[in-house]
Amino acid sequence: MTAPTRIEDRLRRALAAEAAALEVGTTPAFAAPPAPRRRPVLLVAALAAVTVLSLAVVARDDGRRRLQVTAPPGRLYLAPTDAKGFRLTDAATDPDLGELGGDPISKSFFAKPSQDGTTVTATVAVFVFATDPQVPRERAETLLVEGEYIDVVRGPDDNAVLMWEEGDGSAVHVATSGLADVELVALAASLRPGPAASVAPALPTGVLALPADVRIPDDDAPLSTQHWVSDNGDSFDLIVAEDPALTPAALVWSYPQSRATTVRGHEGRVFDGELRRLGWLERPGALVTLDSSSLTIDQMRGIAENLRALDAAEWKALTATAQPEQMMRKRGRSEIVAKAERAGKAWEALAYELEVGADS
Amino acid sequence: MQDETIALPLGAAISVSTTVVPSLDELYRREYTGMIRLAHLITGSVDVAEDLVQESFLRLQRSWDGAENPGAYLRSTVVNRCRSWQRRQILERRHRPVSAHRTTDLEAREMLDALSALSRRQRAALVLRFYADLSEADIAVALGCRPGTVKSLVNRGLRQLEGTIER
Repeated sequence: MTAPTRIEDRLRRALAAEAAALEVGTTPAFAAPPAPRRRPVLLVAALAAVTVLSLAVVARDDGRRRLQVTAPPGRLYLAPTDAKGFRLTDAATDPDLGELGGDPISKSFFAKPSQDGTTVTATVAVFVFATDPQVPRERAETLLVEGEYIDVVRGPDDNAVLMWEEGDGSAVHVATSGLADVELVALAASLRPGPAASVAPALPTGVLALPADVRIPDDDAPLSTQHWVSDNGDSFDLIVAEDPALTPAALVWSYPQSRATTVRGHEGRVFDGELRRLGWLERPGALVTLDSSSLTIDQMRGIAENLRALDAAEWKALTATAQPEQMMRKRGRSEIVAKAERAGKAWEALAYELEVGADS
Repeated sequence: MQDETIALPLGAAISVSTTVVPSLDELYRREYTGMIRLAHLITGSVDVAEDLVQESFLRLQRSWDGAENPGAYLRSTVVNRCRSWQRRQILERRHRPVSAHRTTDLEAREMLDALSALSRRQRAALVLRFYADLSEADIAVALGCRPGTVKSLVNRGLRQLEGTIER
């Protein structure tokens, strides 16, 4: 029998030989993107799209399904007419949500209604995907859950998505809003023994399963998205999600921690946090969301009130004008060009050579 | 971090960082090559290793302020990304990439072939133990499991290697 040390030594030698044979070459400069604004915005937009799709639940107010006897109207496309200085950098019609996981194997939704019932203060959505969704994880942090680390991507305003894989290779994403870390840990710990699709989650006090008469719209509901950016870095996202069964009651569930408002003469919701959000039903079944982390609610209202409906041809023409933002990547060496001390801290100015290209 | 970018002709530009500059740049210069080698030994692909290490540094940059031990955090991130990549390969039912070993040592190549046949967790544990010389506790942190699990992964991995090599 081979002595245990022998296989260990042989393995050690083999690994060292392979590592030594690998020519990595010179270490390139750290290629951190110098304009990190876009990805977070995209992430927020992506999460918003998922939230709109998944939490745009429909509370049937009369307990009966409405029989639709006429063909649905044409798609609703909107475009800003009062967004001076903004340019369209991204637009999509029914974007492939494959990157966000595609169709989940299972999904379940929970929410915490406020005491007066006018809003929800926390939400939990549990998704299980057959394959690991390629959600951007540059912003991912880790959360220690019963001795093991799991990924958590945090969005603004206490939004967080917990991610881990199950033993069979499926991926679990738990999208939450309004929960403290200790609640996130308890929630994840209750689901991780798995399978998450069938385990009852440990929900914080007051968080309840959605009522039985609340319907979840299909994931393949028509969706259009726009991302507008100004030269000074302001940006906003405009998302239109359509589902014939959407009613005003869905608004409360779609926009956690929001309050009632009126937008364009329609019943809507407003949320003024780190991410500001206006949402309204432009017409029955058409939920419009305007998001921005840089504009004020008043500025957003100005954009919303001046939206114009487009026909399909106009929308197609508009999307064709979208120009991706320029992405600058660091290339070559970086150099410290100045040093100073201020307010008790050491400061350094770094100079990088950049390569400019379209963001992929 | 506030980066002000001054555009220059011919596509070049200067980015002036006006924040306190941490030693991320130093860590990058010091650890980049080693992390590439580590990721290569786990994934079997240099190209993939370069991508994963670059992504790991980007993630480290985002979490820099909260990272108590950036070196360990970086290593954990690289290992996790390697494991995620391997998982995707399996889920996407791609064929296992033909190992393109760099070493010309035949005995080493035989060992590396046997290593590539192990489970991804065993392979990662063995690379961290016998290439990176990490303790069981450090490997546990990198793999996100308990030290007892590491001991099991390493022992079983070695026994499997032994069985494969001796066949």
